[in-house]
Amino acid sequence: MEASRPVNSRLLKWTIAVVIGVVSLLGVHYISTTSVSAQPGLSQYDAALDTEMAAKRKARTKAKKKKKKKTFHISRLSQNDIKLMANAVYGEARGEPYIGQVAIASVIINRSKSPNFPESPAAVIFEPRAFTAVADGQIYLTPNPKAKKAVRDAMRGWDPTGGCTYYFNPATATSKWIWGRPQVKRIGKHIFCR
Amino acid sequence: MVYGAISRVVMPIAVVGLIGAGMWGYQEHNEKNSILIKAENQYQRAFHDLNYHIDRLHDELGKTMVINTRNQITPSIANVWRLAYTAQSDVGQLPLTLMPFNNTEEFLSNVADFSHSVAIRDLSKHPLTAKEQKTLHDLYKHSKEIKKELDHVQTKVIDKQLRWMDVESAIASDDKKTDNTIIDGFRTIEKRVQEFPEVDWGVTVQSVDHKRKQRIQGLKGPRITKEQAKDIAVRFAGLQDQKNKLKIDVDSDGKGTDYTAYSVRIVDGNVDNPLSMDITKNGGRVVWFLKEKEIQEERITIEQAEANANRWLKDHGYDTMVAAESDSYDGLGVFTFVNQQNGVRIYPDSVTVKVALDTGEVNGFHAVEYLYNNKVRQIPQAKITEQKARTVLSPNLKVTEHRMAMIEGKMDGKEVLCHEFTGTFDNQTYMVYVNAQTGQEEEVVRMETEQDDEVEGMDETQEQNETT
Repeated sequence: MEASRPVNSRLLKWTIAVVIGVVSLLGVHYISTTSVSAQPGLSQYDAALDTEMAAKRKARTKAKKKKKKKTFHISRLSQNDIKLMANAVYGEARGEPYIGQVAIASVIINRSKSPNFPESPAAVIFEPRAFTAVADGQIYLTPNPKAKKAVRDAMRGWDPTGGCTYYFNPATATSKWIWGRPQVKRIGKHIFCR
Repeated sequence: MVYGAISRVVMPIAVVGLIGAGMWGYQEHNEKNSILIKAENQYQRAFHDLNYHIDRLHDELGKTMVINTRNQITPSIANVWRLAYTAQSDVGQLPLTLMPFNNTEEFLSNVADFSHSVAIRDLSKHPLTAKEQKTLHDLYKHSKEIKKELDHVQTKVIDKQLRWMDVESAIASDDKKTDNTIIDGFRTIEKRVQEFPEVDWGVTVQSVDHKRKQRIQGLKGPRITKEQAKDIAVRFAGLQDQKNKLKIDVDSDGKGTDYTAYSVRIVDGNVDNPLSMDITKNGGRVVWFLKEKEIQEERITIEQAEANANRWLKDHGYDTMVAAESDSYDGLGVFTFVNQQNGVRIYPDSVTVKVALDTGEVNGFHAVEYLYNNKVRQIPQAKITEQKARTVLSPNLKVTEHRMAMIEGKMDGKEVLCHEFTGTFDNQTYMVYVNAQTGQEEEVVRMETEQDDEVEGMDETQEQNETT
């Protein structure tokens, strides 16, 4: 008894150490894997929520279908393009006044019309380094209805910037070159230029 | 002894923990590297692709110089169009947004537009003019310079194993210490393109360019002051009787000579729903106004809203307008009105009005197109009758309506008188415009009607209701 006690205690200590080690390793592994896959995980949840909401909406849509109004207009960007732009607007300017959000959407539209930039809204948005919200992933936040409405207004021709294709936040802008462009106006935190 | 006991417990844990952390760190490091390499590869691909496409572009332009048969030149020019377009798309995938490279992009875009306008033309009827020959020659020379410079950069990128990721961070931070070969190379190209003598791009490109310049210059008319702008804004918004209660800010836009407007912001009571408005400095015309507000339950129909919009336009001096388009989103009715003269719709003179479907109030308006296009017009006589114009139409189209309209011509942007036919194909509505002077199809527009986006459209209104 006397002799076996230290052996036992040492065994115990080692077991504890190994268990803690394994647990900590597992913990580290868990953290590292989840931190890498945090976004997909989140979007899965969002997707589930979305389908649920869509199902609800569909149910209500059926009930309301009869009230549908007559509309007639030129075919424009798809619903998904609007969503994508709303994501960009929300990521770039969610704290800005409504007009500021319409202005950001207008810049995207003006760029896609300009020969100096890519043609589709997606190519404009994902042009490397064009938008900070794309670079830091804020574009993957879920936009609110206000951002979507701002995009729709901009698509229907409301352009608070008067045709601008650039804007920057003077507090955070790092490129000196952007200051050299002709400035048109300031809306909220952003300065818009040609 | 106590210390020894503790160390006997802690040491193994620390060792195992350290190994664990080390393994984790190594794994993280590897993952980060592989992501960086993936990103770098994307840039490398776009860059080498750009070089390839510019090489081919230069080749094709060279071919157009020596081809003398008309039906051989069209495939070559069509290739120029495709390559210029692709090269521009390659540029869009490189991190050049934060440095001046826009002249080169514009150059490529103009090459694409110019070659497109030539490629789609029937060259046996309208062969290349001497002017166009010269333009092609100029483009050939310019593409040679761009190609030479790009080639030089590409050689260095490969030989010195330069990385675009470094360029990206150098541009973003204005860092002068890193290897600037790539940035300098692209700056040189941009400078060269800027120094190119003026290329004669032909009417298609010029008309777009002209329009843009005209817009930057702004409207003509007597100059107004900030105070006058304030009065105009208040009157336009119909808030004269509450003028003393309003908080009005007026900003003068832009600096230098390119400015056009005053920005007015009116806060009436509720700070969350300000009214924003732009008023031209010359002439004091309202370019647009927008009032953001939450829409409560919809009470009026789209037809009633349209009538409201029409009445509102008449009250604001637009009295010859007819509704051409209607749309509804987020509890709003949005209508585009166009000028009508002697029964002819004049599409370039268009304004857009937004009506809230709860109160029927007009809370948005813009007239950019109208202000720049409206003028005294002499509408020409149609040489082609409706009957004859109908024979041009595709047999696939079931015509339901006909009227006369003025639209901007495809080639040179000049206004042309057209027969406008509304028809359907596969349950989709199309508007086809047949030139009333030449009898050629000028434009086809696909229209979206309510059946089109029934479910999606409903989705949107539902979403609005959920949030309010």
